[in-house]
Amino acid sequence: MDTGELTAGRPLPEVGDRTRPFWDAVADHRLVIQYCDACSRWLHPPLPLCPSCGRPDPGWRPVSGDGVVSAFTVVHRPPLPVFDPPYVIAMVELDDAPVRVLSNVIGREPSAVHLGLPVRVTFRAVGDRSLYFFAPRDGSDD
Amino acid sequence: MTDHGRGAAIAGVHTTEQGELTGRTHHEVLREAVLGAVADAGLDLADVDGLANIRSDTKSAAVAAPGLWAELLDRPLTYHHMVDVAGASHCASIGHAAAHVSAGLCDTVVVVSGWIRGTRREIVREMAYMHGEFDASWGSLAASWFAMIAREFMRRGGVTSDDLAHVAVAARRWAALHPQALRRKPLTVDDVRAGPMVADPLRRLDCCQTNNGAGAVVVTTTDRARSGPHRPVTVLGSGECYTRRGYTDVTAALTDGGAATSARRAMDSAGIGVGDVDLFGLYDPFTFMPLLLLQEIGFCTGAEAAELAAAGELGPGGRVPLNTHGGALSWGNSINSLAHVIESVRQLQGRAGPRQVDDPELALVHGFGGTLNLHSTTILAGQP
Repeated sequence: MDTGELTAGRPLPEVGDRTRPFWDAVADHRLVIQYCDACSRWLHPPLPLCPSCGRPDPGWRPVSGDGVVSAFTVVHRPPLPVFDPPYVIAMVELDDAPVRVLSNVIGREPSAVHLGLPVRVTFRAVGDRSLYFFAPRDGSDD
Repeated sequence: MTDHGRGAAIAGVHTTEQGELTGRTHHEVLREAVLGAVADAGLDLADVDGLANIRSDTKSAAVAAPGLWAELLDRPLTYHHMVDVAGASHCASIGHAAAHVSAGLCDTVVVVSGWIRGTRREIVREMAYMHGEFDASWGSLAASWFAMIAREFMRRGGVTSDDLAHVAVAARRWAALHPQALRRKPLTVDDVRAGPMVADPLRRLDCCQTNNGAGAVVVTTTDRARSGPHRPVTVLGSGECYTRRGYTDVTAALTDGGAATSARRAMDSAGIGVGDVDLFGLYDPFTFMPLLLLQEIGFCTGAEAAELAAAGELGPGGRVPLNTHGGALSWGNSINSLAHVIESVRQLQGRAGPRQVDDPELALVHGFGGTLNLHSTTILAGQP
């Protein structure tokens, strides 16, 4: 394969031109989601065109990074040794956009994660790159 | 399917040994499957127009699959198709091959599947990149996608981990009757429960293993199938449905209706209802999947499917024979749902040996790819 690299053993696919604005924002510790201005339509994961109007490469719009856990699992046997189990893989439904983002919920015991848990995006360095994660919002204890 | 032409039937099948297959090569096991199925049909390679469901090894058109296989089989091929829908390609290929035979585009097609794969690390690394930038970097892979779907399915239907374990037990009881099956040692619900958790709620024995092997199916004209050594199995109906990309929003599978649409189209094209089906082949890389698919194809609710599993009705001697070869869970996962097609053919031909179900006439096989975002369904009918 010539399309990616393993940084610290974690798969970090090479960023293509199409999604570079997304990853540039992540490097800047901001979360943006693909958004077609003409159609007011949010898209994630990004698409090569807006399904409503057909315009290629829709733009990007910042979101707060707040959301709730809409589905999750606790992984005990990871696909690669670099991942340290147990950890939570969750789909986070964003407050600002009707899309779901896959990530880890960190900063809480896996056994305390539940559906509907309010979370907020947070960023961590992985090698020389940044990745986005989600953590329970301050004050959320349920 | 509405028969616009000569009719199409399955005349022969073959499965290679299943396992690590150390020392064997990818193309050699596929070739064995092709030649084995052709021989099983009582045909000669000279009767074969071409192959279906063999993917090209690289993106280079110069070495695309039909050219390579013309060389490997040492004869020009006059037919080829590849339905590029991942795990849904097997049932879809059976349907397309049958339609093409029926329409007179070709006479005899071998639908083939299988592999000798690389190491687990190579597979994971390759999958991580194929799945794009929004999934694998967080330690997600097949088991965690399906675990999220399983949790939601179980929560909504009141289905328990023990119900799932009963599906593994039923698959193992069938596999014990199949000499090729990978996992044949008797299994109890307690054994499943005692296994290590992979991704909650899926424990090790809730998941199939990846293994090497191959299999093939000969689709030909009904006339030619009638003159073969086995009773022809008619391809009576076929359906497909594709709903979205298969990552990130995985639990959409529970609401997007893709499996239901595929199965309904197959049954409508066959002119049957789900109550007419005698035998089910529902692709089962994870234990909850047959329960979810029984629900999606309209046979019963998820909770009722769980009750059937817990009562032993999915296993040998049960009222709802399902995955009688042992499924991906216990027979093996080298050829995905093509294994379920092949087992259904053997059952409908009355040559399933100790696994034989009493006089089945109609089988429904459902395969899927990705995270339940790509679906295809085949309806097969035995001939008296």
